[in-house]
Amino acid sequence: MELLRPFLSIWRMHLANALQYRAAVWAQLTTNIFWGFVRTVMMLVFYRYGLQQIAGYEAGLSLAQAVSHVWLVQIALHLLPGNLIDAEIREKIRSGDVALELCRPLDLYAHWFTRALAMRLGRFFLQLIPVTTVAMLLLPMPYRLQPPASCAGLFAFCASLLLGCLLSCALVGLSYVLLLRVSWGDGPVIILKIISDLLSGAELPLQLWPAWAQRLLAAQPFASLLDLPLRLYTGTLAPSEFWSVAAIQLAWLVLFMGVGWLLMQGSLRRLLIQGG
Amino acid sequence: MNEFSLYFRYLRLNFLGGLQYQGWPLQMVGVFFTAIIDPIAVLILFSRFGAVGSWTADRVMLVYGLALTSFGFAELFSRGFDTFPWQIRTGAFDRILLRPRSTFLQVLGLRFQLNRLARVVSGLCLVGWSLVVQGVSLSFWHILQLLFALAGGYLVYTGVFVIASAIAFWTIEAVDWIYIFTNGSYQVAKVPPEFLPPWLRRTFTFFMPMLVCSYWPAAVVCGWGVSPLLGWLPLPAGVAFLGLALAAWRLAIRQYASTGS
Repeated sequence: MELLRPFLSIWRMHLANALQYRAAVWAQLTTNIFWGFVRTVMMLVFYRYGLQQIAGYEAGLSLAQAVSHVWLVQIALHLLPGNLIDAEIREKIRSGDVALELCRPLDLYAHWFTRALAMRLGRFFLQLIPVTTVAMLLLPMPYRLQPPASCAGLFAFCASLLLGCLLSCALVGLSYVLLLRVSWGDGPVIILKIISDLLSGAELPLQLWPAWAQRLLAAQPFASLLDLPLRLYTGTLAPSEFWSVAAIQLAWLVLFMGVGWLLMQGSLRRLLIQGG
Repeated sequence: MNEFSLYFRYLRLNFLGGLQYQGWPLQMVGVFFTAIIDPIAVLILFSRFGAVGSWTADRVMLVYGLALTSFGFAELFSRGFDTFPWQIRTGAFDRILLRPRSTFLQVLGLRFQLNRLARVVSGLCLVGWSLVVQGVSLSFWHILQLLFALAGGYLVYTGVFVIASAIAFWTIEAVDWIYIFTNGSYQVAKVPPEFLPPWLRRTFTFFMPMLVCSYWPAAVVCGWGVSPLLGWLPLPAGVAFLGLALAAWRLAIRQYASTGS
């Protein structure tokens, strides 16, 4: 317990911080719902007016499921790697203040991982209820988020989403390691972000991608962030599939955390502090 | 030193600063990655569902490409405003106020990142590809209209950045809903305008003239049955929009009180 104390207070600090700027929360909410709406319109247009309207159903995703997918992405948005890095840590590395972080008697990886997790969960819980309310209750029918396919599906979805969130923090940890190599600039981190946005199914449900790529798409690490958990909710995967989904997620989680931690130890050994 | 050479000096310094990072080739790889990936989701949808009404992928990509390119230019040349709220929050803006030069141009040149070229490259490729696939024969006036469309779009998006910065004087934090009018607005261009819900189409025509600078010129150049006069509107619309934004900016600066260091 003594060991966990610093992490709990980091956690509290960031939750309080996230709540601090209430105007910002409102702004995020509006944007979030707007994006969801535009994406739903896009889905509707293709499902309704596309020349091969049936194509979506052939891919195993009905219109209602596709719309639900869009809204769930908006709800879970803040759990994703997103901008990967919080600006404060980026600035610390850029300005050399990272030396200060190293003075703390905490494992740097664990510290930054906790920080990423706290920020993500904090923002997620802020958005969860309002976005769900709007998407599920206030919007008219074709735009509406459907209830989960089954009760078991909902539980499986929640558990798997949590694993996805941990994986996302592991990716953030990895990108901090990349950023610690100051001379590399933020090119590698940008590439990582673009790939994770696209392949996590946040842009487009992976099931609508070409049929020949489906197996590969489900196995790659980024699907574990979001797309696989969402399938448990919409019911394109049965709740009984949870264990195989969780196994894939855990495997990627262990791998990314291990690699991130090891690389961080390596780069701390010959860290370049810039600025003064 | 006149103001413009000052601005380009800022850009040059930022550019040379960027080259100091050994990783800049990687940045360029990142650029091309973004460029390729940006329109991929819509293209996948088109390949699965086929055309939407009379809208084929190449028609939509022309409208989208124009919007994307003008946003890209704004991000490339007006990026200082994009990151401006940070300056307010840290009190760094006070330093700018001390210098006897236009605050507007100083903020404009605050930041310049070559990786923002991605959207420009990607957008121009889409426009070119779309025009070739549709087999549009361009007259001199059409080319001029397309250039004016990009210039107008650039002014509009710069205007959005400026407004966001003006608001940041009050809110201190970056205002996220401005994304609706930056990154969000060209997402709207991915949907054929006639299928957009009317209020959305009106917002992006009259309130923030993104469709004026993308859909109208595209429709005039390709002959989609729109009055040819509409093709000349982007530039005046852009100038008017940026003018309003600058008025808001002046108003905001007048009441600025520092947040401290």
